Amino acid sequence: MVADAHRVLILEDDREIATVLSDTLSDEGYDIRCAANGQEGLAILSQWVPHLILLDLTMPVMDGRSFRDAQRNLTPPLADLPVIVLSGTRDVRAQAEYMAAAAAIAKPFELEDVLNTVARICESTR
Amino acid sequence: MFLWWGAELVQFYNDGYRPSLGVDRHPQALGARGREFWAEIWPAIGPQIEAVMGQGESTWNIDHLVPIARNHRIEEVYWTYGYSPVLDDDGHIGGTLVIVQETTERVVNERRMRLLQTLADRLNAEARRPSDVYRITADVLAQYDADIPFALLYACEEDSQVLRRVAQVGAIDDIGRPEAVDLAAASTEVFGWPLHTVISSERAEHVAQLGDRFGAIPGGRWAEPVQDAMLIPIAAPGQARAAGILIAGLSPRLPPNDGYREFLRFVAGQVGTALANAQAYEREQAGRRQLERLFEQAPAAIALLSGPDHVFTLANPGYLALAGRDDVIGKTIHEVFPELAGQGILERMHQVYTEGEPFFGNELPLHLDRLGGGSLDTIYFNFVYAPMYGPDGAVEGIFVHAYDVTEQVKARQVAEDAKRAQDEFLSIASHELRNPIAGIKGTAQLLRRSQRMGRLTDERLDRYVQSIETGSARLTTLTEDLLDVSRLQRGELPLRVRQTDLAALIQEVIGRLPATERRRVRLTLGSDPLSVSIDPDRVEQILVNLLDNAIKYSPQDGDIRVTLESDAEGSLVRVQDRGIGLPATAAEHIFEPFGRAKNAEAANIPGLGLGLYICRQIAHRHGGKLWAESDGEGQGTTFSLWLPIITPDGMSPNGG
Repeated sequence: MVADAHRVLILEDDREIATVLSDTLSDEGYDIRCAANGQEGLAILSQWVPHLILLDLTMPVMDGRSFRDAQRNLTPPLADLPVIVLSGTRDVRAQAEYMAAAAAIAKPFELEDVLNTVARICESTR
Repeated sequence: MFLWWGAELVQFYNDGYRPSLGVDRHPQALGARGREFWAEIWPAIGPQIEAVMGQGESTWNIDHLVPIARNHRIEEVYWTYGYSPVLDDDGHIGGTLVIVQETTERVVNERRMRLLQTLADRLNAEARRPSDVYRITADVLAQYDADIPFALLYACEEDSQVLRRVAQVGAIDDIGRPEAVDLAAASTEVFGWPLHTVISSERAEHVAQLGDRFGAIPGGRWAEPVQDAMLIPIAAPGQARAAGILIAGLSPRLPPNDGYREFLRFVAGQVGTALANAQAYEREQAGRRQLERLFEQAPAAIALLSGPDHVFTLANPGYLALAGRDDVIGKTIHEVFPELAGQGILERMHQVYTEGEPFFGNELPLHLDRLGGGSLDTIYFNFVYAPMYGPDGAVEGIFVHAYDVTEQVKARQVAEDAKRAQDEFLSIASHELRNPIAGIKGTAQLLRRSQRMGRLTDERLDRYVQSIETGSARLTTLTEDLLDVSRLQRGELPLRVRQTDLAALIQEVIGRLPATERRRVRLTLGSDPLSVSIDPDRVEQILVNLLDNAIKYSPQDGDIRVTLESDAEGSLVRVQDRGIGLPATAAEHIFEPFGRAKNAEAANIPGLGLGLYICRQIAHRHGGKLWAESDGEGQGTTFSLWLPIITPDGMSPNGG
């Protein structure tokens, strides 16, 4: 793992999808952490600051919207971390806009889309 | 002036006296001997005349009834007269001078006026209904038999040509007083009375020689029978046709002249007026009764409240039923409905009273203590509070018209709930379907990328294939659930019943759980192995569902207790978890299609809300039951599946 790799936090309760995302991004050189719900995600953020968060909406314990609210109330730079919403919800784009997300990706997705979007947003944060 | 002269009482009179003799006694009276000429009244006048002739006493009589025979009958004649002595040339009493004036007309007229006055007074005071009019008329006429020795009153029935006898005074043979006469059926006079003529001409008719028609009719106080009668139409003011006929017997001692006819016309006129009043009163009463019935039977709640304190002055049974009260009249709205305080509605009512603008409530929920036990029912009302204005234009009270629409509102809420459940289902279904598809599709693309990048190790290949299998299995389960629901809703869910060891089936299902979850299950088999007639695949589906739910909805280290008890009738399987429990109202809701408990949705625990619905239907198809119990949220849930030993008739082993 290269020292200045982009760090991506993945919040996804579906084990198979989490595997797809983490393996794909790892293969491309990203530094990845995974959490199965919002609460686990917040715990990771307290020790590890990613460049970007990939966020599922429907999760047990703490869902994507609650996580986003909590994250935006953290101290900078955590509050300003860009988020890509990834969901099977029909109105994913409207939800993403409402949550002030950097991008929205509908499930099922193309891996190329995920990679391109992640890359684009990581570039803009540099 | 009249003079009796000499011992023979020879009579002389001037022209002024002639009318008192009638048409048939002049000039014979002139020069006749008094005792012979007045033989019929000599017992009355003789002693007075003898007193004048013997002792020279004068007498004076006012309105004295001295019936005399004239006009071919004995007549009722009244006189005011004086007898005084007349001296002859020798200074002796030579004769009796009569200064006389006949007062019959005045006396009889005064009597008739008294009758009319009495009749008018009593009808005004006492007659409410037509039957009162008939009774009072008969009463009064009976007291005046000098003028009306007998009378019959016939009334026209409404909407027909039938005349019905409604009153009788005096005596007359049956043939002369038919009970009813249908004028439509009898175009000519068949009963001796010209009823037809009177009704159609609306004019009075005089009938003479009654004796020839009806035999002797007693003359009331007079000795002679009645010979004449007058039929007078009774005109009711403001009505197109006569209300009836007055048949009045005429006194045998009075001439049937125009005065008599006029008098009877007045009698009939009073009866007609009283009848019209009574009929108007009856119509008014009928209208009032109709309004009362409308008010009583209206399929709506109606009440009237008066004054600034809103005191009930009227409330129909519909209102009382709606309100659950039976004693409201005279009480204020606050006294009748103390529970309405704070619900905002009394303020509305007061606003209507003070501002005079109606208030319309649409499906307004009110909480009423309808059973009087202190517990409040929520009832939805459509209602109007309308101001009622007094004669001076000021608001006097409030008209309340309310309608219970609770059933409609609830039915709509059920429909809306069903619609919402369906919307939620679509939203959940799209999520539940897209996740496994996203997993399978993403894994497939990852597999290809890995291979292209030369990173597809055996370990990766194994994991990716496992992912695809897991996703496919999830899609399969979802598809099966949707197909099961669709079959159930069409009534097609075949059971393949076999003798099955239920305990072994439970152990098998638990054995197939992943090791981490299998360790959480505590199984208690309370009886010897028991064989039951069930579809093992479908019952397994229930057991898998209940165990999956217990795992899904409880913490990762929570025990899951499974017990099996059997008796002679059936077997009871219990699956008890220590999970999120059920909100109070959810114990049944979770068995409805797409029904999920609110706390399960809130925690975003995935699920379509179909599993328990399908499970319960399977239990029912076995003649069994499936239910849930929970002490509340966070208190865990116990699911119970009861299956009868013998499956219901019509389900053959190995059959469909």
